[in-house]
Amino acid sequence: MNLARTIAVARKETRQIVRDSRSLFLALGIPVMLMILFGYALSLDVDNIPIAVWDQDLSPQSREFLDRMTSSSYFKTALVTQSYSEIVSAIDSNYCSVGIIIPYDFSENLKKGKQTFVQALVDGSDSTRAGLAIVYLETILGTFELDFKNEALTRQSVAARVSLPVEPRIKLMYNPELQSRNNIIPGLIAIIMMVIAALLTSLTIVREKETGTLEQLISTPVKSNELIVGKLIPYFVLGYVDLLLVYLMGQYVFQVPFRGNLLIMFIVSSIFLIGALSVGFLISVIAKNQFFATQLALLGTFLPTFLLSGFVFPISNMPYVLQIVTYIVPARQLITILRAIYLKGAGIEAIIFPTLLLVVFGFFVTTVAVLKLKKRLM
Amino acid sequence: MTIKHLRAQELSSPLSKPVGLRRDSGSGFSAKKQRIKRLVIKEFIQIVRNRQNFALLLLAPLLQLIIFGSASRLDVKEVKTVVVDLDRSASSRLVIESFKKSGYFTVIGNLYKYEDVDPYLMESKAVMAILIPPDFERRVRAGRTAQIGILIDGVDTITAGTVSGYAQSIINGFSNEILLSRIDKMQGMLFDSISPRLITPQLQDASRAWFNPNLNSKEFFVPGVVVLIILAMSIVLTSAVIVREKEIGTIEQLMVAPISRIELILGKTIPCFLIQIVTLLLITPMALWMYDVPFRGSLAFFFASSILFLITASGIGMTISAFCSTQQQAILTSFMFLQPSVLLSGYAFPIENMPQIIQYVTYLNPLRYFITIVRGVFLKGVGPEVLWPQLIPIFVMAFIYIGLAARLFKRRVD
Repeated sequence: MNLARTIAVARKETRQIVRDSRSLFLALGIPVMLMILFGYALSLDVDNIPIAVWDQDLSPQSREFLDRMTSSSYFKTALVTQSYSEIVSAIDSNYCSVGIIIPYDFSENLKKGKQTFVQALVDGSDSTRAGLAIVYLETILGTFELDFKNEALTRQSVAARVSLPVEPRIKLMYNPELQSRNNIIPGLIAIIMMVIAALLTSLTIVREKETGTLEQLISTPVKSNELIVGKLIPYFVLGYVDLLLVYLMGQYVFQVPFRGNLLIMFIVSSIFLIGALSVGFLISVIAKNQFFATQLALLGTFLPTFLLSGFVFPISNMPYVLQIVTYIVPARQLITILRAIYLKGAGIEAIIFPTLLLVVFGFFVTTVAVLKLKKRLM
Repeated sequence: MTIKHLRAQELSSPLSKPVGLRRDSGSGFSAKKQRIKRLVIKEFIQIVRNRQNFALLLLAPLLQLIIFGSASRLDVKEVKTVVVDLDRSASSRLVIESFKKSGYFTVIGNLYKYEDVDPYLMESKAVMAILIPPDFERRVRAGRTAQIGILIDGVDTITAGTVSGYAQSIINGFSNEILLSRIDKMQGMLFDSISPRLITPQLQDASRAWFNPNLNSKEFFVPGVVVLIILAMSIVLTSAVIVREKEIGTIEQLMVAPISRIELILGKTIPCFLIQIVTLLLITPMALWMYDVPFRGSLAFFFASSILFLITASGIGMTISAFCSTQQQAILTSFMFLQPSVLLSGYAFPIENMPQIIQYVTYLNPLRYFITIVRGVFLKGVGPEVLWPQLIPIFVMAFIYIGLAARLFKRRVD
């Protein structure tokens, strides 16, 4: 491998990147846009669920129950009504997600110790929201019931003999306020690096093919490994600039806690970046035209990175076959590592296995890309 | 013909070249149709002849349907749990049993020390840990309050929120049972004069989830997947076919050919459009069959609104292609456009959770309206009578984008 020739290729590629100012702008703009979207606009937190209420009872007990629901910040009353059909139409038109109906004998039955019901109608079309709404509702009902029971027992002067048998002490580790931003931004680093690296490099060789400059390249004494290293250096730098950008934004704009070792994060990210660049390069060598290359890059890198990495959708929910497939998605490894470093403050011993998988992946893809390119250049 | 006349004619049909210069090609409607048809055929051949591209056009939607359809799930079930039971009594086993019976938790390990839990949570091998202290049963028997420690990995916020709710409910239920049995025992010991019977209120909620009674997130996501696939394809494909001619330099040849710009754009877009419709026709029944999601609404309304949406999407693709001069720029711009469209559409992230300003921004997103339509048709079985307001913005945007594309093209080429 000749260093001078490698640098020459790198310089030529850099010039090409810098000259196409619009692509350069997009390569730096897309990460910033994604950060702002995910950090600021999007959240999977479920709170302030709008409810429609029909309180048939209108007793102090029913009012207290409703107060408890709305004071929890999980629910907010959007509609108070006196008819079933209004609740139905409110849910149909997405105005409310939950309808609560308290029956006219609610307080009477409570006092008599008879079983009584609260009816909840939940819009199940958004299953996450509906599931969480039901969980919240059950919890509120459970504590309301226990408190009421205790009160009734106190009135009957036996409370001294009855105390709460079991009390749960629930502790949320690593992310106690359950901020979804803290979960998403470390994952976003992997998404951004993969997309930018693969989308940009997937065009490097095929562009030369389509515009007819590849023959000129072949006629020069440059070797395939020099070509690949030279072509990837500028994109590596670009990917690293993106990484720094995203890291700094996460730190100073969105204040995501960083509990681990910064050096480990940057080293592991570099390993990942080399793998990601090689994937793009491999696509570029295989593809016959740029349209195919970009499509394959989107399909082969963006899609699995976004969907099969555990970024938003938990891997444990996927069908078993797909769960196995996720092991060859490098972003899955990086996201596991980054979350462990960011939120759990994990050291090298906790992340050694996914890191090894990243090394293997990078090595394998780079080798295949070099071999394929060699065949092309012959 | 006076100059005034000529100008009026130019203004009335700004996209066709002055008629006087092109007498040979004719400008009647049928001639126009002929030219567009030939261009469409040429374009079709070009797309289909390239085997790599053809395979891609067939396989890409299918692959997307499989991955998107089966990976996007937000259900919380089979939560991996480790247990540290220092009490090892009948009561503590009962607690663990009620966690197992709930169906939400799978116990993957029984540990003997609290400290052993840390690596499980740290390496994400388990999401929850149940810690039962050694004096658990003694306290319960003695009528004092016993405690159960629950540690939850809060990194995945949805799972953590749901899991903590489940845990709370399960322990509350357990607590309640003990309380009831204690009160039952006490009934006999009480004097009639104090209270004839102890009253123990019981509450139950009768929750009913509509439209998706099993709360399958599959039913929420799969209809959206169909939309995402055709949106991404139509924007990327439409923008690529035109930019390609620019990059290779064949656009000049087309420009000097005896066709007007609008004919050129139509000839380029119609094949893409037809491919999208075929994709849609293939993919919708496939999604229904593969994922067993309901389709409760009107098929005709679904396809009609899909075609309208595809027109808008093609318009966006055309606008992008007018802006860009290389395919790299086109793909990056498409990506820059597609990402926010998907993320701000309510497909995965609820619009209600977004800040107010962003919520206003989502009104500019055609996908937002179409997702509402598709979910309404698939899951709620509502039709045009409820959904017609969603069609208007899509229609308006189709006009805006196609108009914008035509304008930009004119400026570029002149």
